[in-house]
Amino acid sequence: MHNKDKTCWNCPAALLKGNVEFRACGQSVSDIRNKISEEGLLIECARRPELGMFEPSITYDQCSEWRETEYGYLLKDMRIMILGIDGYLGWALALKLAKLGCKVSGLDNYLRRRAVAEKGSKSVVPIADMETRLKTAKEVHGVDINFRELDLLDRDELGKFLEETNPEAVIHYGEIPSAPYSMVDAEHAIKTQHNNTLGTLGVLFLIKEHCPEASLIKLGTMGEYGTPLTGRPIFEGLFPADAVISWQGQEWSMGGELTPRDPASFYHVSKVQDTFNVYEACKYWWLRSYDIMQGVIFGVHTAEVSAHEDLRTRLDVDEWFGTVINRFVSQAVLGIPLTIYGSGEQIRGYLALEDAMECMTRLIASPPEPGQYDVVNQLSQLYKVKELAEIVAKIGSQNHGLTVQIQRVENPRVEADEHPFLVVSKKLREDHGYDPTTPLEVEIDRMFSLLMKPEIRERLESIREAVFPQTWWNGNHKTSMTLEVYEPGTREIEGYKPTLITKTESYKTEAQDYQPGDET
Amino acid sequence: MEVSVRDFDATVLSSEKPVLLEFWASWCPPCHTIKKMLKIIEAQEKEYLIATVNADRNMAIAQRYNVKGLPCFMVVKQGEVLHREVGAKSLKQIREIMDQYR
Repeated sequence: MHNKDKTCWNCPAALLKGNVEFRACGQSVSDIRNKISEEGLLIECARRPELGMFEPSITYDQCSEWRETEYGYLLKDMRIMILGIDGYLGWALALKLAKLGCKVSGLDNYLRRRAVAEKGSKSVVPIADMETRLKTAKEVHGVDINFRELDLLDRDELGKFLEETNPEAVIHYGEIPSAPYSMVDAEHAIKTQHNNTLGTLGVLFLIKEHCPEASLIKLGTMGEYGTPLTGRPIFEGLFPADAVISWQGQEWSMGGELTPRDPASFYHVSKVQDTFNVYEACKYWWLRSYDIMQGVIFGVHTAEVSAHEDLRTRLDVDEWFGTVINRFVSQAVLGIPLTIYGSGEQIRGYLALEDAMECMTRLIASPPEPGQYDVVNQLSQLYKVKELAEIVAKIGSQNHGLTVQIQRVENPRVEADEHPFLVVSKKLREDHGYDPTTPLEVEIDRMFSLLMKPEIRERLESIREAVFPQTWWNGNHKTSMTLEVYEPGTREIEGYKPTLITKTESYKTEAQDYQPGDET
Repeated sequence: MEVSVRDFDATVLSSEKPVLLEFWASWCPPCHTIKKMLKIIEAQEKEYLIATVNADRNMAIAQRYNVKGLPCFMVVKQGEVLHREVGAKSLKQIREIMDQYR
């Protein structure tokens, strides 16, 4: 098991005692020099108080509070708080973790349901209300999920909820996750940044006050990085030590500095601001966090949500909340030529819902160290939008008898149509034992099977208009014009080739005697 | 290798080889990236002992060496500090420091 040698030092049950005056030590240990004893740092265990004070050195495989699961050692009955538990990801994760034996609590104010309704759309997969979801989860999976309807901006009530539940991990899915939504007008931009940025800032203060040992797993997005036209690697949030900047004949290591961000909408800006707030909170208060730069999620399936129709998670296909593959599959079912924005040469990282849930579970199982801010790029593969359209068209026609065409439409976004894309995504694979499990084609096929059901197809028909892009980054609101319609299989994939670096040995460096492949 | 107050004297001070010593902390992002790089160097290095010390967990050592900023690098030979520098270093810079005392 990849995390068996981790110790109490990483464990959220370890309460730091003894020499802890340096909690806010910033960048120097000099301020606490008068308080040093000859002893090392000691802890108390919140779960095993009978152990008294001791060094944080018990490994997970030696500790009775940790048990082996397929995702690594996981704290028994781990207490988890999910912010945004009613959403596409939140609900699927809640069921997965509860099924694994975690004590899951969660809140939601149903903002997503309202925002999708505002667009004149709805989840094409019908979803039950929360009461029914919770009841069905109990009946089908035998799990109890502790839900509260709550706005995370309501700090008094959220503080009470955290105090009552005392989570050991906080999963932050409680943000408005749409670039187009944030570009509609001032009201939507401000609402997005207010909810996301100030919501997260409040959450940081509340974690500090109520559960400072909990790990914060915070959802960011690969869109924080943008698409650097220099073609430099998109590292995992922080530069590695062997990345150097050279200037006027000298060089400096960039190790540990945040890599540049180049967000692509006011929504992406909110995520970048979150990154800085979380980074600072870790430094100031010794909070610990994984900032997840997640690729574009697609799909409908996890074992838990597929177990009963009242447990299904939402699936949005409108232009605001529908991500590209989800939108393509629905367009194929509706007989609308798949809408590629501009050239379709845009490259992005992608991840099936099922894989995203596995990655999150692995990260929850292995918390960062006290004070550690770390970033992971969470994606399984890179694709061009054009390429995805071809794959969706092929599966739709071959497996489901649909006639699928592709159309290029005016790009309502301000983005590079063609760009290099060299992405590093090593930490989940090398440090957390992740190996992508759900092939793109398998999940797309599952989506077709679900969306072709007559009752779901009927729902799709009723929101047909919401699928087409109308929100322009320049402030216009008009339907994008079709530039051309073409048959699948008739276009070459051109331009830059995407590169995904998933292993240390695939990384080349100029240093002659530096053989990263030797790393074990 | 990671060393602590318990084994610092026996491993670092009694080392036959020169020691490249790095003080680090979990709240210090440059420290984490440097530690990853040191692991690679350690796997290839024959002449040096590579030792890392968590400054928060072993404050007595950090105090003994008057560590005020992290990451802090030292070259220690038979208990004597021959070199010290603070701040993230590139692979080339670490190699240069080590080569001075081979």
